[in-house]
Amino acid sequence: MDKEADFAAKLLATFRLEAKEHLKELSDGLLALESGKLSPEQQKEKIETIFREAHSLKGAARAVNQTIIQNVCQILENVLAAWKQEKIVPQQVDFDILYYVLDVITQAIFQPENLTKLSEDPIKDAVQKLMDILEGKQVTLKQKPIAVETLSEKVPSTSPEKAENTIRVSVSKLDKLFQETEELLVAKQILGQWLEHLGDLVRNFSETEEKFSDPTLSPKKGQQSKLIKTLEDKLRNLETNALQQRRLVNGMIDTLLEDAKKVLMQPFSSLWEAFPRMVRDISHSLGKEVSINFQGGDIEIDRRVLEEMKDPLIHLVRNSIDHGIEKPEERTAKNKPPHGLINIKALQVSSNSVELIIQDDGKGIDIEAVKRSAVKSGIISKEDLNRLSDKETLMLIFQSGISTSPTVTELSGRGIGLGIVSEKVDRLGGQLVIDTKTNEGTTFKIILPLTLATFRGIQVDVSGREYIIPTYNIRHVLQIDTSSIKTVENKLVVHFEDKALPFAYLSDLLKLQTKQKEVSNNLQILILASLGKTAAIAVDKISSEKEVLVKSLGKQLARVKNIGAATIMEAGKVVPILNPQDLIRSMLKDTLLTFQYEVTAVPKKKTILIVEDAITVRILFKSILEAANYRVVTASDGVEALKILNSEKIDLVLSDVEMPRMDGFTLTATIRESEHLKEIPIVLCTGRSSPVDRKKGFSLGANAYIEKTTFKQDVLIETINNLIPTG
Amino acid sequence: MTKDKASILKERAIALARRLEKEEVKERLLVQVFRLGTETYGIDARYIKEVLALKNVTELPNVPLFVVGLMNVRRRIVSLIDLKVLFDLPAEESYYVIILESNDIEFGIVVDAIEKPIEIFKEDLESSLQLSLSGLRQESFMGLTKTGIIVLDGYKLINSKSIILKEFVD
Repeated sequence: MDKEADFAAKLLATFRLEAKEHLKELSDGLLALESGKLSPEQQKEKIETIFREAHSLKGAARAVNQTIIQNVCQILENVLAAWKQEKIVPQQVDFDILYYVLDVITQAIFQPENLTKLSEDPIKDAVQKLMDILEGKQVTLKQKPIAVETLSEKVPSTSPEKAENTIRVSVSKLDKLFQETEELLVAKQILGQWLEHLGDLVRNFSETEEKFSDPTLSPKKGQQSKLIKTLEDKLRNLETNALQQRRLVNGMIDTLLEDAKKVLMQPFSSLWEAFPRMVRDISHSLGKEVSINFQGGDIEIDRRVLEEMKDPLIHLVRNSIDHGIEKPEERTAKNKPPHGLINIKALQVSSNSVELIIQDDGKGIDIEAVKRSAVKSGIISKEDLNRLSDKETLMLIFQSGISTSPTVTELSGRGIGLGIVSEKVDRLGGQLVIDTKTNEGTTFKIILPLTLATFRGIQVDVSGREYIIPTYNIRHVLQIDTSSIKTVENKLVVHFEDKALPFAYLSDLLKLQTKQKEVSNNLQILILASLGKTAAIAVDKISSEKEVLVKSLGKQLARVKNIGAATIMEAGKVVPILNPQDLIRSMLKDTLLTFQYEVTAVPKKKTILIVEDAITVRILFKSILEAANYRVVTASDGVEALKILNSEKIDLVLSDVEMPRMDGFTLTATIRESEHLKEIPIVLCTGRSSPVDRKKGFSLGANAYIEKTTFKQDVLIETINNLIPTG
Repeated sequence: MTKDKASILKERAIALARRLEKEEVKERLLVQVFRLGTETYGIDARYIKEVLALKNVTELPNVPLFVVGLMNVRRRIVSLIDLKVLFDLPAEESYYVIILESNDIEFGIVVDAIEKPIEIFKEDLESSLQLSLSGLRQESFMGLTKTGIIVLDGYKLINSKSIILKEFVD
């Protein structure tokens, strides 16, 4: 975007922000004046205030070259000035027309495109009406060219403009946040130190290794353990260090998060600032007189909770006006003041919860009508209904399709509004209570959390079922080709960012019955991290990330394998939330996964199975043999070796003798006894050099015997080459 | 908070009711009757929160057979269990859920059919039983009516350890 236009756009956004405040003040001022509750003194003051607001709005419009708005404001200002100077008397001032003018201005600022669609130019019309007032003419409002509801609700607070998403935050809150963020620089230093420590350690290790491996330098047993002890001490120091630093960094992050949440807190008053105008418009359109009072507007609550509560609150208030509060004549007949009253109250009840009370003094909810409607719409059977208490019966009004209103009005009565209320409250983890007394009124009590426990998860499908996996534990989402799944030590792995990660199908981990494993070359993979480990799991489908409300499984399900909690989707479906810790544990537990993956071996290469419990030796042999053009699979003992021998074709076994679970002798004997394995050549390789062992090895059926103490690379390769020549 | 109060009041009410009942000659009991396979059972209605049709159950993976799954009851999650499994009865299709509640434990039992509730006197129940019952059925057995309905002790059933699922990945 070119600079000039960019600047103009920014300026316009700022103007809209400013205009919103002026319009709000204007509207509030008019409401106060109209209420007739002001003393003549206060009245004068109010007129002065709104006059200044109109003046400022005009100035702002001029600054951004909004000539039309500037002109309307000019005339509005003239009218207000005349009023101020008592050139026109309040009786003459038709509030409807002034509100109408405000609406037109609002529209012109926030949705100018809507104005151009109208056949009659509302701006011209508004200007004309204001002129008429000034000239003392009788002015009437023919019709409302702009729908009152849409204006009072949607403008300006939910206009999709970027600038509308701004919130006010006190400087002290931001200062604190900045300080805490700055403190996190320590974490950078800490990581730098760690790199140094680890570098030292690596050097120490290689030095020690050199001493160990060079036969001329090879230290005696006592010295060996001393060297190891030194290394161990260093590691322990590092561990202690790490614990302390983790505590420090954790503390800093927690504080920062806590205070960042506070920045998102907004006062309740911001939720209901548009309400007085809305109440006025709705009640007038219904021929009712209703005033609205607020309490606890300064209580702060998570902005997201407020946003979610906006629609429900509007519904409840509309509902009160439409169904609760009676027409003035009806009220008078009941010995009530003709003016209906709605009280909205916010009340902090504990450190993390707040009560929002919406109370009207209308006719109350007709429980019998609710029952009739519920049965009629088939939501509940008559028998079940009789079981419910009055309170429980009242809760039925929050179900879709129930309305006590015999006619469907424009505002409510369609029986859908209150459904939204309960759903939203529920999604926020809140509670809803209704209390109603015939002819005394209805009270809705909503208990809300002050801060939102947000939980984000990714929905996955597996074997026809849906699950949520916490986003927090997901490092990556990717597609891989089935050929990139490999077997290492009889475990499935995939390579991700140069690391071999354990791999499993989620359906296998959850022991789900799969009808048919889909033969697709592309696998949907999630890289899962938990308990300091990383693993890859495959699912059938990965859907988008969602924000969900975590619900407990209840006390009967105290602990379920792999399932941590559940959530209820918008459509009402219960979806379990997986427990990543358990999934990782399940993966590590299963030494051999049920899923058999066919390894796509390069046919030319012969496969050697190395059976060896010492990892260093295993890796050494592996690299030597791979360099000699053999394919290598490894096992850490005889038991594991047999599993591999039974699951894939092995051309030669190179085995250690001393191993846990099953030693090399037993392995050799078992292979020789097996019908389909007995032909496989076996090379035993061991530190034992006694002729007795050697003899035992051969007698059990080993083809060759290599001693580690006199180990030479070329001897190993030659021995193997003699048994199975490479292709 | 209101819930705590309610449960305290409920407990008190139950305690008070018991004291009075001792003075009465006979203890009346309202029993909801239901069917599990070929057998007819009853349970103290005071522990029943509501009865619903069994639908839209989300099954859980890799759980014991007696855990049926989760159900959305007015946006609360309620777990369901199958007494037929715990009572060693043959498997049958269930069509209803009886939601039980006591001491903050809430869950549903799936049953094959719901019958009319009956009012009985506790003393009239045959409780020294020749039937050889075992496990949870023994633990929660209150007595047998003359018509052959097996009445379960709601409190003992709900608070039994054998209905609690507690499994870890080892």
